[in-house]
Amino acid sequence: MILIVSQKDDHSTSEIIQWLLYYKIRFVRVNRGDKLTLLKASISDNRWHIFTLLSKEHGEINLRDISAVWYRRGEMQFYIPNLNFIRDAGLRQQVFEHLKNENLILEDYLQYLLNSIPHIGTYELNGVNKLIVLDEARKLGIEIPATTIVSEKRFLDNSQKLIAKSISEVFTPTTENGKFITYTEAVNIIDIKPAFFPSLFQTLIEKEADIRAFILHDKVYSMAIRSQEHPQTKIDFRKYLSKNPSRHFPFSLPSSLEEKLVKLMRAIKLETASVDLIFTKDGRFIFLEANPIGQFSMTSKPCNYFLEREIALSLINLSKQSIA
Amino acid sequence: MRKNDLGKKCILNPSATLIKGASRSLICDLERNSYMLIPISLHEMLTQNKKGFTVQEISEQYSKDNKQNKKIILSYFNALHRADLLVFTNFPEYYQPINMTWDFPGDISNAIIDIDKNTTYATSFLEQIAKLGCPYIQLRFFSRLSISDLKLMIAQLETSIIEAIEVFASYESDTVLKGLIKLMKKNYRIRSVTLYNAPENIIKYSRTIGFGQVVTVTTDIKGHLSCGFISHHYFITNISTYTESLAHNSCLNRKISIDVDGNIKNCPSMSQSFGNIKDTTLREALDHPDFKKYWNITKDQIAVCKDCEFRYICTDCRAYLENPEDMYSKPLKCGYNPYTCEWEEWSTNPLKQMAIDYYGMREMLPEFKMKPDHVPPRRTNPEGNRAQ
Amino acid sequence: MKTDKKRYLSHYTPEILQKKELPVNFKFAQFYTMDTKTEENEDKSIASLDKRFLDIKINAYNTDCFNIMSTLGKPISKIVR
Repeated sequence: MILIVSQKDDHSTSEIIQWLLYYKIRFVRVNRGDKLTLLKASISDNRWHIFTLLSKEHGEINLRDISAVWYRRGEMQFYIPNLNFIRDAGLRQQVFEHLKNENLILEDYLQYLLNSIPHIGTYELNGVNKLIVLDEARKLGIEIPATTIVSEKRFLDNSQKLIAKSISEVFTPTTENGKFITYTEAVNIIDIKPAFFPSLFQTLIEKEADIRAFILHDKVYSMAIRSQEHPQTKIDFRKYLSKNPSRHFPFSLPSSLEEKLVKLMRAIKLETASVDLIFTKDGRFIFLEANPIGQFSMTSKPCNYFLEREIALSLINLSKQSIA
Repeated sequence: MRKNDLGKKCILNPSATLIKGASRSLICDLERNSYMLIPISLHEMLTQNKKGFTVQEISEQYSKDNKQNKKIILSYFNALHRADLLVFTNFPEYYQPINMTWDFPGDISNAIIDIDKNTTYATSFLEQIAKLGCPYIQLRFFSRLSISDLKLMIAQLETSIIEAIEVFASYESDTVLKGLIKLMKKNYRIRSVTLYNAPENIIKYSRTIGFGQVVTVTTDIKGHLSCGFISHHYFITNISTYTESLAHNSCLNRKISIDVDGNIKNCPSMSQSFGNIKDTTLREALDHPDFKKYWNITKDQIAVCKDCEFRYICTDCRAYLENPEDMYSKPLKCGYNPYTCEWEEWSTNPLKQMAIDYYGMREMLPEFKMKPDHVPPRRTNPEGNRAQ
Repeated sequence: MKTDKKRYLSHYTPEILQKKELPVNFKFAQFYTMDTKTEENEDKSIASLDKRFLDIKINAYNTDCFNIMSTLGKPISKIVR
């Protein structure tokens, strides 16, 4: 049986499950927020364990039955019961903290056991470190943009056109006025104050296209994203949010670069990721980042790659290895 | 196009495909869901220069120093450029065409259920449809629609894989209309409700999040005989229907249906029954050796359609044929002539009269008369397409 | 507050975020102007747990409002003009 760890509103997960249903493969989907309890676990010295979860949504899940795991999103957290029967608020809080710690050890142990089962995706709450990935890419001979992180203006190179972006994830705050998003912005040096919170700068690269490559094990599926050629082309404003909608084309990276990207995935221990690159006007490819939890449907649909089916097949393949 | 664009290397937009017809060709922009008619000469120029070209060179090569021709060719490429069908790049070798295979995670992809006053159906068919992996159902009511029956069916779907339901019913009253809108607001599975024989052609309700529409139309529908209508309004230019049409039948592939009498067929308009839902399961019918007989009849095998530039974006009808004895003949209700590029009134065509009588459609002919907008535009924008 | 659907406005930065202690890239584009209350209500009206089962009860998965975006992509029958 295939275990899928995801969250409720993830449509890609549902699409992959449609393929699993079609191929008549047993699976169980655990979403962030599902109430999991450990029913029983025994650690014996030869055949290591029995570890059975009880989920309100799914009933019993025995780890022995799991032949492959897909970490899509979210995590599996054990349930802490309602402690309101403890009247002393201070005591209640302390009991809560203790139970949380009990659960952390169990969750950690669960991950340890699941790690020995073939899987796609990582159970990494923190995701991947952008800076480390850039470094690993550079070591493998993959071209990366000139990147600096500074907190004082005087260290910036005035001669280059620069862009600034987040060091971690894109920041999307919600206020009472609505939702906001930060974009990778071209920087006007004059506007910058002399000192600021450490910010990441890269040289602005003249591009022909953005490339999004979805990597699954050793296969690379690429797509080019370009703005439309002709500004006056009539488009359907129901479909496109901005006035300059993009085009999405199937694309094929040079095989030498594909090999390096696959090696990079191994170096940062990812079986799958969505990689962003820039395709420059003079034909070079510049690596920007790797996102372990990527929206692959935006690559799958315009290029007709059937990535959802490929992931389902990959999971089925992994689970066959498990039984062997 | 600007002057300096003429010397830049370019390719045809990788999302675009070309369909050659007898007298002209079609470029389909599969990403933008639009199409444009082009002359066959332009089709040839584009297919012979797949690896990339400059507009300057190509216009010189094919005009052979004739200034008039060169002007014409430049105007062709200008039109392509304005339609966002040219992509400028010095590296055409990296851009790939869209994968043209089709696949679907379900034994059945769509189902039609016909209901009239004599239909007695156990709603277990919904569960059976779901078991076949089918997410999309169309319910066609040919008699009074009972909203409470509809509600019962929807309630069954609470834990079902069925994603979308379309409803056809005759317009009764504004009260019923309001009841249907209310039902749609509560149930995201109901994607469209079309009420026919109504006072006007208008969209009565449109959902704000996600797709959902209640529409009334003035046409009267008299059962399954009304189906099989071929029109540019049904042209669809997207990857899944285009690729499906290359290898499979545009209408019958992975379709199952139950007619008003409970007979399980490829579609309610076909004659062969594979059992009755009262004593046969949909799975049993699907497993019958003949059920999938017509699933792979493509346009390239159908007379006249094989020469039509619209063949991969059009629907099809294998139930009502110009020649009822020939499974590979053109749909009866298609009035397009790809040899003259004209849309003709099919119902008065002398060659179709025998088939009209064969299917018993004589009385309904006035309903089938073509409307003034039967001719498609030379180029559609995405807004121009009728489908969701 | 009367709300619009999603609208993209460029480079509107709430004053509170213009402080110099913050990173340089803190320029925002307003992505949504929907009333969050309406959004919540819409979400709740959708059946929150939509399980799909095989003949054996073991397999289940949840879908939600995002699922409503899929369609077959072509007409199922051609009965209306």
